[in-house]
Amino acid sequence: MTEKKTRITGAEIIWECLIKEGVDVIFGYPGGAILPAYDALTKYDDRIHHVLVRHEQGATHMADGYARASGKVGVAMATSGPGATNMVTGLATAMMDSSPIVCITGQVPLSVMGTDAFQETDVTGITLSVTKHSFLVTDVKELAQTIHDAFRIARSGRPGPVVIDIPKCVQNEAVSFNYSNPPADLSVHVVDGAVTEEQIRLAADLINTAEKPVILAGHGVLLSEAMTGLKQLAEQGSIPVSTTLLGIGGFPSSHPLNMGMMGMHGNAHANNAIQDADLLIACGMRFDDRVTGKLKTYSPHSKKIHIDIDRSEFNKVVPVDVAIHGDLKQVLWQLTPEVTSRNRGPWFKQIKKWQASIDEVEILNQTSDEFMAAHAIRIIWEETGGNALVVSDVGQHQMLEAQYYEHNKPRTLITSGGLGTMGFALPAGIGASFAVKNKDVWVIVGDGGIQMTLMELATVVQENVNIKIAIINNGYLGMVRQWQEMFYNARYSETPIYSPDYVRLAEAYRLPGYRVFNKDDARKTLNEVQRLDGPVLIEFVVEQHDMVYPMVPTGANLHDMIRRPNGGQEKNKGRVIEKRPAK
Amino acid sequence: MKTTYVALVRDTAGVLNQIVNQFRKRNINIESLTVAQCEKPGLSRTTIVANDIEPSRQDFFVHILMNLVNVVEVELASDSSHIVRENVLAKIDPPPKKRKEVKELAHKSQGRLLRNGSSSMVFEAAGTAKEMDKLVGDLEPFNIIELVRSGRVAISKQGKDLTLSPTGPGESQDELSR
Repeated sequence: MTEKKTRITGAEIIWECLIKEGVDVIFGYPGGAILPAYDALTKYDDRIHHVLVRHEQGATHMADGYARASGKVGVAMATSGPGATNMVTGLATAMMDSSPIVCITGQVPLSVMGTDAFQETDVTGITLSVTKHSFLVTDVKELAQTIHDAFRIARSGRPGPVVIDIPKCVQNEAVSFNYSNPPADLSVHVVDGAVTEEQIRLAADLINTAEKPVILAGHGVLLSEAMTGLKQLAEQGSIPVSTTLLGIGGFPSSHPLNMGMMGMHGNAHANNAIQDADLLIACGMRFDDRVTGKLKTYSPHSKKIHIDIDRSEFNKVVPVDVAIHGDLKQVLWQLTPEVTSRNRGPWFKQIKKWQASIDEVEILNQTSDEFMAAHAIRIIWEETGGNALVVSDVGQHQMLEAQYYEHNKPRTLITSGGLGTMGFALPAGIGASFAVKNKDVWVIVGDGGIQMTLMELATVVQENVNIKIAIINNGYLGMVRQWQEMFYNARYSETPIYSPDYVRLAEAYRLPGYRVFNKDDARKTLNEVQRLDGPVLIEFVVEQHDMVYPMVPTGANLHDMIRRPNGGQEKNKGRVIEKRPAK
Repeated sequence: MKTTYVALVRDTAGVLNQIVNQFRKRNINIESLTVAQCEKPGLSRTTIVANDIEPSRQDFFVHILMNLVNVVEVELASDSSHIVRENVLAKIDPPPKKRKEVKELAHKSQGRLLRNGSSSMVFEAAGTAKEMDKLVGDLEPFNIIELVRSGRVAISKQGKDLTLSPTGPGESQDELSR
């Protein structure tokens, strides 16, 4: 390729570099300090599609949803000051869930930086704790390299969010720019793993001598694309698998070795198996407090193998016997051939026994006319054939989604796990829909979460995003209410929540809106809306008093789960919202 | 319990903030922090002394510091693996009769007087933290007006320099030092 040098502005370099990094969609909101970049966008908008969000938090969640659905880096853009500070929640969400996003923020010109100029904030300082790295670009000559580095940092090792703060003067300055010479991969220090044969042998020995092993599959399975490797290991060694919330989809739900989700609202038999195991094989997970319960009594008799790309996760909360630092996919390729085939009949018999005990209190097996959130989600699963990409919000419906929507394919569940960011689902769903053109995207969100970011309904309509928005409305901040009922003597302090008329709201935004009150309506409506192209909003008016079971209370032993009472839940004792949708 | 880390870091704006933040957000107090350019162009070597890190957590901080983009290498320093020193500057105002004793103390402690003014003397010494603690105690009778301690600096006893950790494809030690 011949060398083609030309003088272009920093603003143009931003778009040139984004195109070079393979970016074709970006989520953002213009403003004073990022105006040069937006002006330059007019020359590039045939190659990069810009989605105008309604709040910068939404832009970050959209970039995050896009990244999780596509496996590529998601990009968001905002102006300085409030534009940038609005991104903090989205950055923290992406950081906690190891999601690769790059956020570009405008900054006040260097000449006034540090003088409390209009819309000035210390963005690199503020975002220090919630990013993998943050750059302040002070020289336009370093801009291209910095953007390249930012993408590399975001997706390498354990992925995460990166901020590039670009002063307005840097965007305006023109510099000679070399199109044909991609920046080198040199200026960033990237941590890779170093797996030794000794570690593999030690791990294989533990697996081959274990009677009651369990594989714990986390988000790392998806991030490393180690789905095939995980399946091979599980099948080769006849090892049952339990996933974390973010690990869902990393191992097929219908696979006979899959015990389902572990942890606070995990399956009882999965939690029991973990507690009774003699070996845990942790694959790309971090022993979050929501999956371990009380640490002192966590899986007390097991040896532990931990495979992770981030060394700082080893022994952070749970001491492990063999720590393998490396890319999970590669480690599993090395490990599985060393694993011998075993008959673990008694172990599976025991697990089956535990499983039978939960079937008795399973809500789907209880005969009742009540329309619970769990029913709504199960019906969505049935009517979508389990083939949708689901983006769930945070709370009861999130746990119920994990329990009642079975995911057989990777990257079909996107949710805010680590940070638990309410309001995540709608914008993340919008972002995800730009990554998957051939899949239905379903946003499942509570009546609390939807009201945190519902301004993005306008984005949905403006972009004609093909998403189905299912609002599970129980008139409460349900998960908080559940804790109040269980641990605060049913004092429902500030958890009853009023909602607008969602059908009329949908109408106001000019998108089709539906409301359903029972299982039959739900099935009929879902059948109907699935045939509609374009966005749809459906409100599921569900019982107010239901809770998510099983539940391991905070600080309790993982095996001490509160089970669903047989014969239904006691009716709500607290104040109810009077202005609920009438049937 | 004090823990000493020696880190090779990029000499760039914000790097100290990034390092300190890893301790601050876990409510760990940094007792001393020194940083200055080193033999490698573009890099600085820093010595961090932190309080109250459980022995089982000491390695954790090595790894989280290594996760920082601008940190190239981190070592956990111990008395057996490292030479750890500290510098003390003390401005004292001894009674005229005791000035001679100060000179003797300087000689005994391998320190020196940098300034011998009519109203004050400036005393300098270097040594282990323990030696410096003792020296400060010895100086107390001479009326300390101002005391400055550099905080610890540490250097590995190994023959070769800190080895750089495995790097990504195409990277070499020299390239990392850019």
